[in-house]
Amino acid sequence: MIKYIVKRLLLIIPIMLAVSFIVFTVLRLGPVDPAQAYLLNSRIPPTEEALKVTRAELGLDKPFFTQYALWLKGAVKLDFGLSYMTKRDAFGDLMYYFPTTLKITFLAMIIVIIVSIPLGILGAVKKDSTADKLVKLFSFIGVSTPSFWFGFLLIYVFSLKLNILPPFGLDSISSWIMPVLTLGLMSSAINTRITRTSFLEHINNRSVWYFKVNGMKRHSIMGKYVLKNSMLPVITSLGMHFGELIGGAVVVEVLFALPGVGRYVVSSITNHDYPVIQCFMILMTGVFIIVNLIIDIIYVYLNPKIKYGA
Amino acid sequence: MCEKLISINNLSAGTENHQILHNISFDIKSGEIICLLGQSGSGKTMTALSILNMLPLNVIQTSGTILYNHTPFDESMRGSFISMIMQAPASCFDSVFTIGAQFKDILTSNNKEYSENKVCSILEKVELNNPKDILNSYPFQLSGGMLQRVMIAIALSLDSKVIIADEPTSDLDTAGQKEIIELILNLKKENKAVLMITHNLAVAKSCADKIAVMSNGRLVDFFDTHELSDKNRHEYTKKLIYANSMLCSSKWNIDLGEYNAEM
Repeated sequence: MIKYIVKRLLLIIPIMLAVSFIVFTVLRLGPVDPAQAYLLNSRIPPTEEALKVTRAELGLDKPFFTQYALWLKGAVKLDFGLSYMTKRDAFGDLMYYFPTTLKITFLAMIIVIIVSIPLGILGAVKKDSTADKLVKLFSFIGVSTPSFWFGFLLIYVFSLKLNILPPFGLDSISSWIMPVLTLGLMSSAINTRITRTSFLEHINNRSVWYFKVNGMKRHSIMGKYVLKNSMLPVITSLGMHFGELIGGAVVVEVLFALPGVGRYVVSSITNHDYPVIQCFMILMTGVFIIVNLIIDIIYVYLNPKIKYGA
Repeated sequence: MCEKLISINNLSAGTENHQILHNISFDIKSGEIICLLGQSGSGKTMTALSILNMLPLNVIQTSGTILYNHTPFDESMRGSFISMIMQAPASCFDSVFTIGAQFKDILTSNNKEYSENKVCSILEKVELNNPKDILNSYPFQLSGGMLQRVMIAIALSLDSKVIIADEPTSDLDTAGQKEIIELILNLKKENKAVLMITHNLAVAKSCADKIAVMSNGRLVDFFDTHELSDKNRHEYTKKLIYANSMLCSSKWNIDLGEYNAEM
């Protein structure tokens, strides 16, 4: 177990290296010259002379791999360079907004867990009943509803018509309700389906039959054996949903005017503010990898087949 | 001593448009091993499922009665009155819990006390050495034969009067089969009634007191094992005996003398 965790922790290094290289390369392949982007953000006309000076200043005249190495050297020390727009430290700027985004994401994750797992189990245990049909209906509607539209709908109903929830900003606890629901809807719907299918798959295990024949009660078979087995794929899928949620958070933040990284990053993208975009992508990847590492460790802990190397 | 534990009367069952079991009647008595013999699809397992009241959803019992100690079926009888030993034991245990946890859950849900010492001594009885290791291991760490013994141990701990064994030897090698048959013969000493389902005449002959032969959903023959060679046997039984002797004689025709000389 400890060996596995150490192995996984060491694996983070090559993964982050590969991601950093891809992030750096892909952005350089874009049609906009970083020096030009820098000048435009600084409202300086991009003359030949100005471009030359800026390239030298930003180190863009050096060979590609040297540039990457220099950037990586800084990145390891969390120095991602200065934002072209604000001329402030890109990492510092992002860290100012990032906690809000993380909070929304984790709250949405909690919503996903407390909505999808009970609903999925309910659907599986009462398969083909009215309850199951409602669960299926929820999954279909949830999967096919665009989150920004659902967000508008919530604002229309709860802010404009009923006037009980604030439509934007983060002034009180009630401000969190609509953004988190909007963000969590689609993942909840998908995860409900996954839970239901996984549970149904294990209801027909021969072990369930064997336990029943030998006098074990249905609720203890379901509540212990089927539950633990069916949670294994669900736990893995939650890791994937986390990535989806953190990406979706950007959209929701723009929709509800929340002070998260969303709006900052969207404007960085339109302004080709490379240091910020690079820093943002590395941050996102880092969080995603760490969350998935935790999830994998939980998975291994719950699944003795991996723990004992079968 | 020979109590009539289960009596099956005119049992018929089937799906909406296909009858699977036709008028099956026989009794299961304590201290007796009955082998239910027949081809796959002959209705052996369906008969066992009827006894356990575990028929698949689309199959219904159309007529007949099954009495358990002179009373009709009650769900609480599963485990405490009838227990079951299944084939392919590797898939009968849950792979994310230890054998010990599953053993314990089966016992406690039948209101039986679980004490590790007691369970260990039962595991030793079915010739599993290191019973503590067995209880701490997961199903995928044990062999099929070991798991089959664990199942027998569970049936013994449940102390149910009737044990249904569905092809307990079919996944094992010959040596393993012999050991499992010996354990099942031991059950008889504890005055249990055993209904063993098998398609193997040799297995049936080696342990059964009575053999029930099934073919196409009908009970075609029912006799004491020593009457196997009787002239009055049903045609189908004779066919089984013939087929079995063909297989066996071809095995024994090998000249072992030379082999021994080489040793």
